[in-house]
Amino acid sequence: MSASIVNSTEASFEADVLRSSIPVLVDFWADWCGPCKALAPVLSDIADELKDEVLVVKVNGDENKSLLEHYNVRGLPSMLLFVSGEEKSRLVGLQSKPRLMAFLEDHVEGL
Amino acid sequence: MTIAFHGNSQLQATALRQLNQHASAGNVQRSAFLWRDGKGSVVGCAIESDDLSDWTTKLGLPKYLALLIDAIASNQPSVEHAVDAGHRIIEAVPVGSNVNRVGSQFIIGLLTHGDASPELDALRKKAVSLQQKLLDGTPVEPAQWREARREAMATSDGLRTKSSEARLGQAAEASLWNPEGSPTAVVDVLRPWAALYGTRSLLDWGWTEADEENVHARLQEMHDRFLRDNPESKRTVFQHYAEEYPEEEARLRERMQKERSGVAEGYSAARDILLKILAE
Repeated sequence: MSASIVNSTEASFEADVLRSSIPVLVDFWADWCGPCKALAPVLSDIADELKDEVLVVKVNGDENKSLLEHYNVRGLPSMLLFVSGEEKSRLVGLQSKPRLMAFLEDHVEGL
Repeated sequence: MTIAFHGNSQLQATALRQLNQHASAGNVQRSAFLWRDGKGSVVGCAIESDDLSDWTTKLGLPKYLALLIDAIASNQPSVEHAVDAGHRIIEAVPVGSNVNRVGSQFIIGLLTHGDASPELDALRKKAVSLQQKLLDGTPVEPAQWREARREAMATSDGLRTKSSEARLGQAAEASLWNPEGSPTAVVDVLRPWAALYGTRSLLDWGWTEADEENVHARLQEMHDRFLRDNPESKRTVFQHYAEEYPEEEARLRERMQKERSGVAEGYSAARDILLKILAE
């Protein structure tokens, strides 16, 4: 996993995501989820490429169920984009790098 | 530039030996890159590490090759086939060679394989020309890649979802990166390219768009009739479908199997393209 990616939990979510000074892409994943594993290298790639513009955060859904419920996450992987502590948009399912980059470029100013 | 196995054949032998040992011990999983608690994907077992950077530092191989090997291996029909595919690819990498060109060569190999409509043909020719520039040593600026990707995605968006054309369009749009700086590009191209085999396999079998729509409608019906007002139920829409429409459900299972076999065939075809490139 890229050193630029942060693993977050219910305890640290507020500090990691909601109070972040830059936009945050939160990946909800689980150990048993094949597409989540296939997505992991894409997220690492993006985390390295955009490390000054977008923070990539991973949340294990099985270990942080209250976050799943709070954000109404119904399928994995789900990627929620937070800007200034608020969810701006989300993507569900395995994505290619161009699609994920286009999603970020559409919602993050200056990319 | 990375030199395969740092020019040391012992490193290649060690990676293959570790893979074989883990295969014998039942530690290999058909998965994207993974190494945890002594078990993992083909590449994870070959390097015994959960850090993809080790693939490059220990073996002198580009990251995209690791991701590619695991993608091909994890889509083989069995663990034995996965190990065999991984073993053959690692063994085929010439010790001391510069394999940085393989990413672009492989992308070109995929994109030029088979026919395409005129619109998609223009798209893939554009992608091939940019990858060819890299092979010729001509830099491609980030803005050029970005513009080409935007154009490609606009073309793909106009195609019917999950159609053969859409798969090809997705493969072309995913190819518009330099694989050296963007290790996931190669697998992003391969995924829809292999899915195309599944789509074609379904068409050959006689599965139509109307069949697909019917399944979606039936599953929605099962949800509405049995589950929507019964949130405590542990049963799935598929179980209800099997009871209410057994023949249709059996055909759906056959459809899933046909698609999986087709996709596996695609990954095997990709393995052969890669092995051919490595042998040149």
